Amino acid sequence: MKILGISCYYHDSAAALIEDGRIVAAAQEERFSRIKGDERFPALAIKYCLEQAQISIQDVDAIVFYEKPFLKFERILETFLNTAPKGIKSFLTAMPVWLQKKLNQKSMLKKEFNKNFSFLPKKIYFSQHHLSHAASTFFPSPYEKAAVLCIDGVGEWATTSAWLGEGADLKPIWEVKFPHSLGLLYATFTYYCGFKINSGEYKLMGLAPFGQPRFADLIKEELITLNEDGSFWLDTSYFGYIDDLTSTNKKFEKLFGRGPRHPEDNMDDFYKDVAASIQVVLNQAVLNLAKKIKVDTGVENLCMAGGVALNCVSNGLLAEKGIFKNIWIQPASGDAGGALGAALAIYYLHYKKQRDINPQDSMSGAYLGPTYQRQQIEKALKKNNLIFSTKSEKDLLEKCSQLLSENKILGWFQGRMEYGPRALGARSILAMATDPKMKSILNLKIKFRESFRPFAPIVKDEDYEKYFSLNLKNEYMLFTSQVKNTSLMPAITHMDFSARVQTVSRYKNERLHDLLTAFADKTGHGVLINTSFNVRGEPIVCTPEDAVACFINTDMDALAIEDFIVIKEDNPHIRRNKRWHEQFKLD
Amino acid sequence: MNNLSWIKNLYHYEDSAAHGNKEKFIIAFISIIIAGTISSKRHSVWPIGICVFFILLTYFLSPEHWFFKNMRYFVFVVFQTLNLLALSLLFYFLITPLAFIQKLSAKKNQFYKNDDRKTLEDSSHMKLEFERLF
Repeated sequence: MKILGISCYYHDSAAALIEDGRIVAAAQEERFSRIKGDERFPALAIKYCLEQAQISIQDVDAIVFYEKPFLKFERILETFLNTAPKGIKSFLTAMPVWLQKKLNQKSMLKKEFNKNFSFLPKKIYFSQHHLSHAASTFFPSPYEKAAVLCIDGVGEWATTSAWLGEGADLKPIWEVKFPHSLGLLYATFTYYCGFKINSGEYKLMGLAPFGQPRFADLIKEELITLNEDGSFWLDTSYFGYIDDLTSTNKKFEKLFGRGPRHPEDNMDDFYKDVAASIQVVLNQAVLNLAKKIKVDTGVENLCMAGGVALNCVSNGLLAEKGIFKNIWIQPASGDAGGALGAALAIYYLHYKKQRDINPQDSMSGAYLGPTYQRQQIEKALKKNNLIFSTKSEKDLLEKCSQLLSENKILGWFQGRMEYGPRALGARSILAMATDPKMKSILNLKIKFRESFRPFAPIVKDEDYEKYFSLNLKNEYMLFTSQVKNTSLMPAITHMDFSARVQTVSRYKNERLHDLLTAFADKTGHGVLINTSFNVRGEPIVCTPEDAVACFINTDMDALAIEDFIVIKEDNPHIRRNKRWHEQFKLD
Repeated sequence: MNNLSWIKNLYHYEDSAAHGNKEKFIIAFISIIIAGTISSKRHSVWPIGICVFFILLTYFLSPEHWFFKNMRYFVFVVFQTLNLLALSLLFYFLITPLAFIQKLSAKKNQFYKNDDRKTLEDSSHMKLEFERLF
């Protein structure tokens, strides 16, 4: 049975295809359209999924959308009615879109299928936003039984939900509804500190260790009440997201004594302290919720999803506290993961199919995107007049580890692209973690991004405990851990001596694992910087053409693209367009 | 604007301006009472604001108003029809579905008041189904 899940029309649209419960393909539309956070119908992602499965759209047994549009509309309408006349600006912005398009989502989706695939689906199914999140994390997890916690901004009504997953079943337990939302609270502070909502949250998280949490008590006194039962209550009079087009309002600004930071202004200590404070509050709220669900379910395993589940600092703290013996988090925890969750939810809960549990998890390392043939890569290299060579596996690893040990920056394009926001060693930029200057070189010359942003390390899973303190597998870069020897790896050690580490297993990424081994043989330490293969504002590269363009137009030293290797020094004739990265809207 | 005579008859304005005003006064009074009640229940000036707006239109913009005097009669008819239609809709939406108003009132509590500030809601009864859009 083949099921296509789709998520779109809000942000970061995606498609996922499962066949008899096995995840065949999943990808975000932005990677193909090259528009960051693209929210349009994921025609290109669907096309890829079908190609990967070698089927046509007519072969798909069910198409399922990740949320229920009418429930979402009900929430939006009731919000307007409850806040009128204050929300008039927001009302006038949202209503035309809803009345003209989104309320007809079923026919709109059918029209899109007809337009893009000359196919008119007889039926489209609709999951629920938090059900899709819950299914996306429990069903691929390695657990037979687990508590499931979903925390995000908002879907239909729910902003936080608790579930119990057992076998092929998933049962709701409790939820917290809009307007009380940890995701929206964090998004409000993201906006306040000058970052974009739905993309800048991880910047706020990265900024937090630079500040002191001196506003944490103020936030808890005025903005959010954290209850002992795990629930939380927001004083909505401080927030603009209910009745305005901005997240904060004058009352919020008066409370902190300053207005929101302009996106490209210098970052001063005040906003660093604000970032540190909201992180402390979020940590406490997540811990409270985890304790509550532990009491309610009594199980040893926890699965998490939703945008807030991408907050590695909270996750790291949760793991450290040991409330649950095991924690597994969906790597595509944002709305893009809803596409996969919707497909899995209908397969197990509607069609009542059996579930086979993979003890390693069923996400295949999140390498669910496209891979490219030798001819396609060669064509892209030749098109750009690049001098390149082809290597055997052994020679490639030797050459790459040599370059890295010489402090060169390497573009690493190998195998299937990742699904979700993180680059996990398929579309990555790799560099030496021991060079103290590497962080600023990468931030300013390769990524063109803010200088405070940290870089994540990768390490073989067997070497993990040698360098990092957290005793937990971290294959999807979803937990921060304390660095044991902070002076050894300054490029990946953050202000608070933590790192958002990714462990690499040979089972899931053999070539990257072997590269780390080869690098360790040369330098004595098998740890590298792993950052996404893109520049600021650009979606992570997808095709060889995208990778080559990024390689040529940045200060990257070498590019390893499958078995091909390109060295910048060997290509002095290549002209770099210094304004190339300006085409991407800053995130 | 002699062409206005038939519509004036329709509204009895020719017979007695006071008579027409009395009817309007009663409508306005009832509207204000209802809208005021709803406004106070919902802690919002929005219903009463809309009500007053329409009352102003019907009460002050009589056929003798300069606005209509300088227009042809059919513009007036269209305008008054829309006006009455809007008033009817207002009454329909604000008075008839009392349950809806009560629901709004309850939601209002969720949005702003919520005295105990406990927001966990049991969702175990929630039906997981995929056929519907809601």
